[in-house]
Amino acid sequence: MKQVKRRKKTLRTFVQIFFFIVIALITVNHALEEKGMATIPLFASASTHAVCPFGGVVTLGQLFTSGTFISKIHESSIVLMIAAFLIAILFGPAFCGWVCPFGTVQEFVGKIGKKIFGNRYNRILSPKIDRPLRFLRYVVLLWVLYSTTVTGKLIFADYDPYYALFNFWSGEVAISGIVILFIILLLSLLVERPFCKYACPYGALLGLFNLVRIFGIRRRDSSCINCKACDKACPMNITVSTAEKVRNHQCISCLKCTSEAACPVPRTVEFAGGGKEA
Amino acid sequence: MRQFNISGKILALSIVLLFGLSIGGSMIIGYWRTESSKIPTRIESGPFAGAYDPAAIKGSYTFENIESAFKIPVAQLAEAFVFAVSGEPETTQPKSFEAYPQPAEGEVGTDSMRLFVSLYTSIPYEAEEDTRLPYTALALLRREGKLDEARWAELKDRYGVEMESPNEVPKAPTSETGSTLEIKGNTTYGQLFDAGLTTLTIEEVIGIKAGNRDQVIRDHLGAAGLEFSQYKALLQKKVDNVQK
Repeated sequence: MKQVKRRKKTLRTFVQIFFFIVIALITVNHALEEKGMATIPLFASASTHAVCPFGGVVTLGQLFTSGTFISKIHESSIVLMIAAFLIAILFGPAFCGWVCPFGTVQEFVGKIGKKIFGNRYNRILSPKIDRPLRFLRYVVLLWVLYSTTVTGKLIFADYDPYYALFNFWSGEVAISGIVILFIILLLSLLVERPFCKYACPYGALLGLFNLVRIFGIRRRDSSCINCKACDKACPMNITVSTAEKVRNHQCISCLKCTSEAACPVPRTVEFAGGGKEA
Repeated sequence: MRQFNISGKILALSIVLLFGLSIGGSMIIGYWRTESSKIPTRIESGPFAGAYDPAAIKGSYTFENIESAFKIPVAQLAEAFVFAVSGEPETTQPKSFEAYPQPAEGEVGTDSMRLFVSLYTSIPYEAEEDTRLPYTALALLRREGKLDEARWAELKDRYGVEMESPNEVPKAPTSETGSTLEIKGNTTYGQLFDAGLTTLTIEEVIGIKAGNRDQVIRDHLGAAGLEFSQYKALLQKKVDNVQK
């Protein structure tokens, strides 16, 4: 059983690394091209904004009203937005758990934090403080949508740690973005995925799909031994052990809580859709 | 109804496939674009309906893109924004303007190009509050007859700024005494050139095409209906700056 679990865990890590490398090479190529330098062969060149599905979301207002894109956003963002929405309708915010390169980076930094802080890692904030903070990302989402629609510019780019991560070396990143990136990476040593939990506007939007998604985390009460391994495994601190279906807006569909990974009892916590088990 | 379980393997495959198919499908139908088409949108209504809209110029457009849309020669764009032309003018982009030393107030950036194109083509565009135009751009507009004297003076006060030009390489003073050139009634353009001023810098001040080397500035300006005394101090300032 242990061997199988390790293989499954590696699969998600592999997918994360794959998307991280693809995005990194594409955006580095773009910066090299902009500077008139030799580019990396076999890889396309595109700006970070062009390969971010959230760009598609923030340009929707202008696209519907004037038929144009906001500055720095192109058709590719719309395509990626649709793909991410399709995935979200089916599987919830799997984009966050499996694809987003910035989520991956936070997770990897978190592995160092886990070694330093042991059991205290990702359990530092009390629920009284933590719970209301989880709704902060919706405030960020509203602010980003409003300011982008009003100005027609990517206002968030100056504060976006994801953009800063891939472009910090290019000289095009605002100092605010670099400072926020640095803070997020530091916080990642204490809390798993702090940006995803508290500030990511796209995570906030995709999180809403947890309420309507077709496939989701389900726990079979009859075989549950109440060991709470699922709770401990959840990077987003969701209490899986008391829910039949996880509808929490913070779930990122990483499958860490399932019987494929943390849950020691086969077919007890599963990623499933449809009616009741036959 | 039966429950369908999804394993990590299927989820991983679905994610990669959905992204792959979406990107591939959009490429097949020609919708996939990761950069702008470099063709500005057209104005939809009003007296300029059908014309390319200066407001649609993006920072990533090259001077060549702007030339093909608005029929402004690259050479003139390069002259107007000479401070930012360090390599091939054709590939220079307005977004590069921001990387150069900016004036104390306002900014010379992509919006400056929109404003310049608007003034050149007479297609209306309302520039942002802090947008500024280099004197070189205003001088070119005046020389090309895009602005009358009154409008030029108004725009010079409202938008005009000095941008440090890479062509303004300080040279050693070459006046007879070896000291700073003092502009007088008999000073020629050749003396200005020798003092380190470029043709562009001179034209930026006087707003018309500079004369020949041997031509006396006062006579040349007088022939163009301009008062030498109005430009003497400005030219002197330029000379002083270059020779500092």
